[in-house]
Amino acid sequence: MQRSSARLKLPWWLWLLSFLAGSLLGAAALSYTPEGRINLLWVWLLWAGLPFLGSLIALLALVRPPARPWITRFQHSVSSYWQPQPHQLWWLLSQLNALWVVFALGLLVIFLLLLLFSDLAFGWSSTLLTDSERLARWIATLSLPWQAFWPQAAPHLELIEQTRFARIESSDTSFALASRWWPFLMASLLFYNLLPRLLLTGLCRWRASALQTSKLNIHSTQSTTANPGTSAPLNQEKTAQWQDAQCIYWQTYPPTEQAETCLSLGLGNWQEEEKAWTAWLEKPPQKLIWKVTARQTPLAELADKIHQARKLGIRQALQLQATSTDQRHLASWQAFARKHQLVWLEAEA
Amino acid sequence: MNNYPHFCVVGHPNQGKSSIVSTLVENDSVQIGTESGTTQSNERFEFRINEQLLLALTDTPGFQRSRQVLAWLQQEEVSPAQRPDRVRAFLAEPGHTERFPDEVQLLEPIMAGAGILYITDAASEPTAADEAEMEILRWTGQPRMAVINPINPDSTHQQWQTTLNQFFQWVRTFNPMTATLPARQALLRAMAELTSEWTRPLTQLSQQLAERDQQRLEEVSRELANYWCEQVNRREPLSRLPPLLSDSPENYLQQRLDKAEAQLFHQLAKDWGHGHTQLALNSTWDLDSDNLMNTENWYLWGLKQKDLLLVSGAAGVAAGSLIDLGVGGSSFMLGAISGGLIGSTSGWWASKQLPGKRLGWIPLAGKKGYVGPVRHPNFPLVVMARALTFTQRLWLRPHAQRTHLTLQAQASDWPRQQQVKLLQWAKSLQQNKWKARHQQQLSEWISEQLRERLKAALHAEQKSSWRN
Repeated sequence: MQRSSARLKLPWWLWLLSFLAGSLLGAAALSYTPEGRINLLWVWLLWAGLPFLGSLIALLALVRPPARPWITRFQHSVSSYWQPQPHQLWWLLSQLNALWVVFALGLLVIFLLLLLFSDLAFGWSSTLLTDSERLARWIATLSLPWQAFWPQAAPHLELIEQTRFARIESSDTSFALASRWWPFLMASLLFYNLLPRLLLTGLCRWRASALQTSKLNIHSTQSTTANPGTSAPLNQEKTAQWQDAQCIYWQTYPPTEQAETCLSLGLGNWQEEEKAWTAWLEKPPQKLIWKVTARQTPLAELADKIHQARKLGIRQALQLQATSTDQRHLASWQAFARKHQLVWLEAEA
Repeated sequence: MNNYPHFCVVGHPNQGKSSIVSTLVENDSVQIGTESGTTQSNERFEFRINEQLLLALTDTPGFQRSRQVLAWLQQEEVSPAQRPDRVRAFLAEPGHTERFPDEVQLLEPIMAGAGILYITDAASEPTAADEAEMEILRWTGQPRMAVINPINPDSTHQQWQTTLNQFFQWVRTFNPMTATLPARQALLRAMAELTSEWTRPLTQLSQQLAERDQQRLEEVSRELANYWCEQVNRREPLSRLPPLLSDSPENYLQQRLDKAEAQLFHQLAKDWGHGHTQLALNSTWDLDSDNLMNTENWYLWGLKQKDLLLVSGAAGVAAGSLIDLGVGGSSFMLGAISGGLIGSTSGWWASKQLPGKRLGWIPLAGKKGYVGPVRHPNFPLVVMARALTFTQRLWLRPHAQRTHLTLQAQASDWPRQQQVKLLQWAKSLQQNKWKARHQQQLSEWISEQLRERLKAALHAEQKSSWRN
């Protein structure tokens, strides 16, 4: 149903909230430890590790999406019993992922601001991880996506060894060395947080759009003009007043006794009829009754002849040959009589 | 010939061409009139999926001077192979657009490659004008099929059938005033057989229509489930009562129920191409105060009791967490736990106080009275029966119909087991025990009900709307 699709929009404050939440998390993660270092393992986990895991779970959930995502709670335009249609569901899922994109943008903005306006000295500290070479291998694997075009963001073993710190030891690492971690964090944020969510947003939006366009669409490409009809009143008269009129039978044959005197048109070869009609017009009567069969429909062919006769000053009337049970034919003939200003005579049985 | 199927619906005026187009394109905005000559110019409709054009259908004005046109065509002796060129010459002749506007309009798309659907009501014997029309169409050399539109039951079918067989590849009977999907699919299949190039898209269209109906059934079931839940649990705040109805909250609730029903039905009609259909709905729920479950809620800062409990608990946790953070985590989350407990307890205590007593002085605290929901045991059954009946009637209604769609009150004829199921769902709703799985089950139940009703109706209908 299209009923609710047009109104499905997330409130503006939700986007703002998502951005602020991202900024707050970013700022909190970049707070210094008492040792005067920012533990990049924590930062990586919060900025890239967990969000990437979240993206993977979201991707798996797309195989069997929920009937009603939690985000619908923020749709005040729909009732609490509302269930989205498939294309609406995918649109909502795209919005949900877009919220995560905004969240990641909040992280990114605060990171850039802090890089610009403060000194961020990174190091790493761990109880279980003692082998720098193993950590270097892991980090090299994590850096694979950008290693080729952004080598500065792929830390080497020397940096890893020299930026390790521990609480019980004083560190003599230089700031220049400690600050070299930011490209790695930035690339991780972009490739493990922002990019997967962007891809998920795009995927959901594509699916929503595909579901919409795969619907059968039937539409008019060329509009018609309907007959406006005429509001002129029907001019009715008694048949007795037309006793002296000549008759022409249209699309029907005259009775045997009138076969010699009455013309019959609309039945045979056009050219032969035209000759007969032209000859008839050479001696125009004052009055003419068009006798038509009630089961037929009026045609412009007849209207042309009525116009020709009118030009010669002939007064014309229309009479149905038999009453039709079909109202559409009666209505058509009456409309025809009104349009061409013909006198309407009661039908002959 | 076009590389997509394109058919022109042509024929004598007032034979039901527009009715057939209206039913085929599922659109009741197509102009249909009892008087002849309602359609004065071509109207083209397209069936598309993923931007692929599966069928174009052009409604045309009827032939008005067919004998004259045929006389012009026959002025020169031409071989059968040259006849289409002769028709093109007719169209190209200066002055013909003014002299024969209807014939030029309908012949132009045909000579551009469209196929022909010739419509006749077979109400009276074929006339010279009818024969001239068929002969002109034969001269075009395009794929063509005749469709008898049985407007009159006492029509001269046999005579027409024999005549039509001489001019057309196929002759079929199709009633646009009763035809539902199976009959339309049968017509599409016959059209698909006219030329092999059009078989594939028309077969695809026929399948797409069936799939679309299946999707539509699922969609409408979800929509009806949502509507039923809203109606069964509908309650209206007394504060919104219009002054004229201030002494009759029952009438106000009835108005709201009627409005919701009318809104749903009008929306369904619009979505399914019946936007111009006039609906005559007579509601049957007569409500009095005995049938209503009038309730009262009080609120604090706009929050109901349950919300207040949750919000105060969450606020306590947040405040306690700040303390935890302040002491560097050495409190082992005791701040958050105790904050949550204190917050929840305060919320619970506050929710038990009646406004006007201890908390009446707090701004934004107050009492709100409601009318509804309706507790009459038949109400959920009537709401569902009306919704299902309306949906079924709308589903089966051909778009050529221009009569009012009247919905009579239908007593539900479900077995007792089904009635009990519905009433149990209604009870869960009104007792606030409604879960997502209930909603799912309700949608499935509605879908099943509709499927059964439609299956029987469609089977019975197909035989009356279509004849080979």
